[in-house]
Amino acid sequence: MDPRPDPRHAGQVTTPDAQPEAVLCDQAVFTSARSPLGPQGYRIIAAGEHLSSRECSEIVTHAPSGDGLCDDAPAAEGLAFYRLSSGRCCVLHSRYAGKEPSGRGGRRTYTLAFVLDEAGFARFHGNPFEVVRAARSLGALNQEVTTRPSLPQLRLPCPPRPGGAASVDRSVAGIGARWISHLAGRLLDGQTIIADTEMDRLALAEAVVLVIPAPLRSSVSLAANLRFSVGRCGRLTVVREDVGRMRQLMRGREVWVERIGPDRGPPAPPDHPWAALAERFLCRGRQGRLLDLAAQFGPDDVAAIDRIVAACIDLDNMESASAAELVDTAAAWLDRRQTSPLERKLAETLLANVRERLESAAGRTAEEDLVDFWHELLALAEPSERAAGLAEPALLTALRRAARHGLPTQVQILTAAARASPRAYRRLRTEAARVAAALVAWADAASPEEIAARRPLISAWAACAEDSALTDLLDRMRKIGPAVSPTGAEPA
Amino acid sequence: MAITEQYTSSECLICERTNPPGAMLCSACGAPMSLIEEAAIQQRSPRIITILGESNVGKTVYLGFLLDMLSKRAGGFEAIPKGAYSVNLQQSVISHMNARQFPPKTPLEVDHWKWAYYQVRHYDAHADEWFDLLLPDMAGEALAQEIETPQTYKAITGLLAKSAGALVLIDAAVAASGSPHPDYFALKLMSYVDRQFATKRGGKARNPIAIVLCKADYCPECFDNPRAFAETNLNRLWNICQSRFANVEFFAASTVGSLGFAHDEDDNVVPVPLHAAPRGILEPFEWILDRIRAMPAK
Amino acid sequence: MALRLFQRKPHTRGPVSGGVRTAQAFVPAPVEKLASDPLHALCQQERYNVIIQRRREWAEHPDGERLCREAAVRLESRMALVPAGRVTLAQTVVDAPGAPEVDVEVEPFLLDIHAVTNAQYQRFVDAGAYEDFDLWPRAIWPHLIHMRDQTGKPGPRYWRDGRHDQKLAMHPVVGISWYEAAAYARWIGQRLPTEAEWQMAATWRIKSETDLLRRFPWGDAMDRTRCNIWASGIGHTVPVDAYPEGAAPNGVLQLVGNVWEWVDGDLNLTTTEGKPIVAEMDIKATRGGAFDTYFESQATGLFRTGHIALARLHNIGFRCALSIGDAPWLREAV
Repeated sequence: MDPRPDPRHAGQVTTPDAQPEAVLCDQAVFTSARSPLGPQGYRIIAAGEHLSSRECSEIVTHAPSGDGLCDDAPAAEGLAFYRLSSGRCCVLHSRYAGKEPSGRGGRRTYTLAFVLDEAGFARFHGNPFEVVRAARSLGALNQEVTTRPSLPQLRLPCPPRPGGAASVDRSVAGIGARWISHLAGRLLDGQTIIADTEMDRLALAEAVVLVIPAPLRSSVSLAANLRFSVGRCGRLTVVREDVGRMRQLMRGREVWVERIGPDRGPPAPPDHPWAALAERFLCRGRQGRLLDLAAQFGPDDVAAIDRIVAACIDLDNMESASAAELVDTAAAWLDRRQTSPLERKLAETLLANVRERLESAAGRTAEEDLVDFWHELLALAEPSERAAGLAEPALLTALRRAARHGLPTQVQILTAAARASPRAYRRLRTEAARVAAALVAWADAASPEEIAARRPLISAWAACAEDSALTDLLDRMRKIGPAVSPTGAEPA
Repeated sequence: MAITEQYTSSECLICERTNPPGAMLCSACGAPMSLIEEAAIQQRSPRIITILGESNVGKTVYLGFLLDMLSKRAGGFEAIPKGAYSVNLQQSVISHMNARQFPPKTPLEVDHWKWAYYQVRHYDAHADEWFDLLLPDMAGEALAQEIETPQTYKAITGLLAKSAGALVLIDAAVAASGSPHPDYFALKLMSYVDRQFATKRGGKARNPIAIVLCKADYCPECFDNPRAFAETNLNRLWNICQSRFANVEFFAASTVGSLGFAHDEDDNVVPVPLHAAPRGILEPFEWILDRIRAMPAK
Repeated sequence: MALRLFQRKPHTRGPVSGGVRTAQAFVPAPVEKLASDPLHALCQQERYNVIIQRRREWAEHPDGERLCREAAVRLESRMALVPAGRVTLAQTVVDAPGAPEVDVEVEPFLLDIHAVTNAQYQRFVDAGAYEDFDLWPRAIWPHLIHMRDQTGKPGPRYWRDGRHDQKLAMHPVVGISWYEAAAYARWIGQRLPTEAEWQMAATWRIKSETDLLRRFPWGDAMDRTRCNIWASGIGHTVPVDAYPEGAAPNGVLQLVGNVWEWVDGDLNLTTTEGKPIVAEMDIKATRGGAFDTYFESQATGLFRTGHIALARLHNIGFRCALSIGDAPWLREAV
């Protein structure tokens, strides 16, 4: 294979103003074939013209030769993913294709290599299994190249949304959430893993990949269901092989080698916070949410992963949180400065949820507890306009409920709200005007004794609110009974 | 210099890369670290004789018979395997050939290659002189890839750089049928070997190279005069040997007495060795050993 | 006294190259002048069964009766009776327990005690047999031109100028194809043994209540001192009368070792999956192993193998057989 220039155009295929729908990739076929021209055995029998000779040689060293899969089944498949020294990403799909043509026994392994640049790989959410699914949808995996030495570039359709949920479901059912998160945690800690398991090895590998935040996936080289070879080991290797032998071969290297499965008992809980979160979500059947979150990670979010985990946990806890806990949660997040886009998004979601939950709580709080709840809300709302906005829907709900109890309760609520942040509540001001009008109407109909009994409350509110109707009412109250100072203090 | 001074216990024998203590395989080239441990025990460097040849030429079978013959003290040799792993290759070859099967293809993966480390002496010639020999069985496809893109398989690069000599196996049957492919492959191979063995610009490589014309049972004239056969049927190889190598000899060899064919379920042609009749196996080895003996140890 | 379980092998030089001696100079065998009288010529050529088959021709010959009697004596001395029996021929290439087999009944027959030697074959060549098309199947006529020695003369592959190496006169003739072996057998009024007959002679499975057979002509265990195989350490052929301890009960020598022997029959083996094993032309059965047979399991009386019919190899020879019905002299003697 002659050296070729690095093909920059093997990337996105777009129309000028539209989102990319397909990605161009280079192909190669590595298998054993007889040729009338002479060469025999495992080699690259066909390749795209833009693959360099160095890239081809790296494919050769990674791809499996005869009897190259862990499975004996004729329909068995294997997958590998590596970063080539050129910087491009290489996905290898291997399957059996009959017997070894030299007649020396064993099954022939047929490997298709898909090579794409990093940007193109990101269009598949950093998931090499998505690349293979895209190729499968084109029928590329079923064809067998025998004579054509040059392969055209392949236009792989980009998945509209992240897939692989079935692999996660299968893995959770087969091996359990703890193992998946344990493996993910080790990868996130920078370890290299070789796992021997009887369960679906491709599904497990994909599940672990999907659990990892998307920007980190391209650094996880992997080999799944391929016969173990030291030279083929990626960061994640999932095989069916004697653990003792693998440990021997990997002696002296920092590699975690273990047989995993439900029969092995659960491993230690993962240390890495994201992995612990993954376990929590998987155990609670919230695979979809977890995968969605992992897919939303951008490059700038990785540094904030701890805080993102905290946001996720708080969001997750919200459903069962009490009003007081909601208030505490909201207070903590109102204080924090978010540094990454996903963290910001999660914080906003969290606070929006708090607002909604508080409003809902205000609607469910017992009547006799309404005023106390009202005061807790005000404590939350005190620090800032943003906090006040958080509490406002709840306050309004409480106010509307209080309307059933009559004006005094409403006045109490509004008074306290007005004291807390006179300018914060736009909607409350509207309510205040309505209550003020109602109060005036009440005063018009009330007896002097009733007015006198409510004087301190009305005075207090009047001192906070700027309302001409209230001012008129205060004047009338002064005329009715003992002088009411503008501050609302009792007359001497 | 004693081997214990020359190498540290964690330095790969093939590529000299330092590995962590206890490593079983070299992290750079994949060669077994037991080789250097064995060399340290023997307190001398092994002479490496590399068996080279294309896929399906018969390297594994040739080497298996050679080692088995040496173990049986054929040709006046005495050979002792160092380490049980050294016996794996000959055991596999002999078992399969005895059952009228060729052994499976040697995998491309370096950690699946078989390495034979033997102590050898020749009773008839120099009874007190023991050699440590390392004879690795590599996959022909790996060699082809290495020739195409050097440094792909660092184990091969390292082996040749340290080889005292080489046995180059060529398919005489295919060459005799008129196909130019063995000649072209041999030309590329010898060009690659030249680069590894050459000591100075323009000078011929002095490492002994035995060109073994395999499967010569198919063309018995090969046994009559291997040199003439090579000059006629492998002329490009012949010419480069004349130009670039000072120490080359041609031999004919075969291991199969009679070959039949059958079809498998996929209609592939399966060669069946009806019986074994090894011939010309020891002579190339004896020649190389004689030449190596005359050379100073590396 | 301690039991000696292991005897250190002598440090003799083992086999190096196969068959062909390269170190010593080739000494061509002398040319024999053939008698002009046809009957005496036949005697010279040791075509004893032809003499007997054509005995009516010698009725008027002054030496006819005497030479016919001598021919019978000679035949009796160089052939041995193999009794009737039964052989089992493996049908698959891997002869494992339970693998398909075929039983063949074998009638008594006569078998040469020795393989055909270079000296004997020389007479065949000197008689111009390679140009006598009656001896060859028509389909082989175009191939006769390739049946040449090292100098291009008709004859076995390793001969020169139509002569064998005098030093190898008593060695089995090698470098001859199946057709050449069959032609020689026809020339001397005999035939090649069938595969079943050969195996009967080597395993001696005579009909009896015990139904015993032996893996080797001498017994059941390989003994390298009784035959010339790779492990014997010789590395080339030896005279046909070597290894008398390796004889079968009837005195037939070297059925195992020294050279493979062409027999009359195609090798019809299959793989364990039932696929036939073929080559680019007919595979004729060969039996017995040779000086370069590496595996002892492949040098037994039971092992079935073959070579393509036109193979002219350094390790294949043959011997001749005769049906009882074609040996009137034997009936007379009996």
